[in-house]
Amino acid sequence: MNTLCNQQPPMADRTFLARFHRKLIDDRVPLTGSFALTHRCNLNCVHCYLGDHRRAVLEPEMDTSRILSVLDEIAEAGCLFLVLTGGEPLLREDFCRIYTHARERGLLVSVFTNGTLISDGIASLFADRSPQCVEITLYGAVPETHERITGVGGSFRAAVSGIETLLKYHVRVKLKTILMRQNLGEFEDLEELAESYGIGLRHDAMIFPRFNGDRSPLDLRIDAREAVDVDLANPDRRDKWLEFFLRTRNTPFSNQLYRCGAGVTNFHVDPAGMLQPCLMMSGIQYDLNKGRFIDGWNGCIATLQTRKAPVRFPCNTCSYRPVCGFCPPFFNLESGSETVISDFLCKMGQYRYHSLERMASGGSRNAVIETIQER
Amino acid sequence: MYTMRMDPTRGRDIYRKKEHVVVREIAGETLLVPVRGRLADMQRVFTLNGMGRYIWENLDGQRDLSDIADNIRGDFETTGVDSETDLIQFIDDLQKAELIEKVS
Repeated sequence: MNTLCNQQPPMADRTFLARFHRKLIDDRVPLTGSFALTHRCNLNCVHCYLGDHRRAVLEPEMDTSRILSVLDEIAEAGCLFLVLTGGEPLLREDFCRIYTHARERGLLVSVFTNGTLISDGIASLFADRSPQCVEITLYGAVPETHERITGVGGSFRAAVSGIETLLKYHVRVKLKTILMRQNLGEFEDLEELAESYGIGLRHDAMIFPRFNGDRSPLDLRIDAREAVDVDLANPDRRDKWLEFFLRTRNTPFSNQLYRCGAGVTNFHVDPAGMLQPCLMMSGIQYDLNKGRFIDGWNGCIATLQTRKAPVRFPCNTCSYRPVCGFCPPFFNLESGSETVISDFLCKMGQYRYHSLERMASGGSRNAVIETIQER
Repeated sequence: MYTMRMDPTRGRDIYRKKEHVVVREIAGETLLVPVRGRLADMQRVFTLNGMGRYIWENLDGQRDLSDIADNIRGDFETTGVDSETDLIQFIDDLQKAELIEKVS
């Protein structure tokens, strides 16, 4: 259409999306955020970056009134997509009020939960004011595997019950998992479990030290090559990677340290009300108890993207960078410096790059490659 | 002045905005975000240009479509037939997305 009005939903309109995306970046609009409502959790996962959840009960959390005000400020600043996460966000007794307020402000909310506390009341709320998605983490397809990682007996059955309750109420659910030594052999079973429910499963192999400096989770990591192989074994994921690879492989070299959305269109708020450029980047914080979101966003958060890498920083001229998972805060957690590269990510980038390059130039040409090259 | 050119059966239709729709202004774009209902995703978020916003604001449960078409002709440089066809299409899409409801 046309001369009168463009009523196309944005996602259906590539031209609109491209223009909107460019404007969001140029104007530094905080379109996408995550809000950790609490660091408390009823599970005790072996790899969790938050560490000892028994200590989390001692950490400060914003009260309901302040959280609602922050949601107002976030919406006024231009946020559209908000993830409510934790810890376990459903441990907050005021979760329903917070969630309802976020939706009433026109935020498209996703909820990240371990699924164990999903009740009929929660599912009913989601059915009435639907989230974009509820993402539930399962670490295994059977109780033994899942609970070896969560450390809590009965957590598998409770999570599965949560999934089934949400589906009963026709709430959009996705599963996700973290691949680690303890569950790598069960990934296909997890895919089958997700398929049996008719829902998606996404995964990640990015395990990093706890935010308190404890490096023990690194022992749980799978090999970088195994992580890439799992990614590329599935045709849908392989096509997405190929599309991304072909689109980004000629990205110009740069000494700009941060080239992601952190501090440009993305942000994170922790339970105490500290605004950060992203979950991983706690080196720049603005206290939302002392000022408004927009002031923090336009103040210290804006400084992140001005950071430059050292002249001889190897990633400045590395062809693997677009596909390695490059992340300075990840480096910082591993080494104490955001410019000391991660051997794990480096191996992953090299292996992924060459695997994708072979697919793109070899006998596995497919519709995705042809479509991309025609653009 | 009553200058209705559209199908008379549609011209008398009156619609109003549903209460559960939030109008968001983000990066210079006007977005209609449904708050209630089963699916909250970008497939149900409408973006409006200036004319779309104008029509949206006119869906007040009192003005019929002929009134709105006349207002458009008065306030915008449009040709009648095309704009009325587009208006009807726009209304039908909004109703299909459950963002408005027919009053009479």
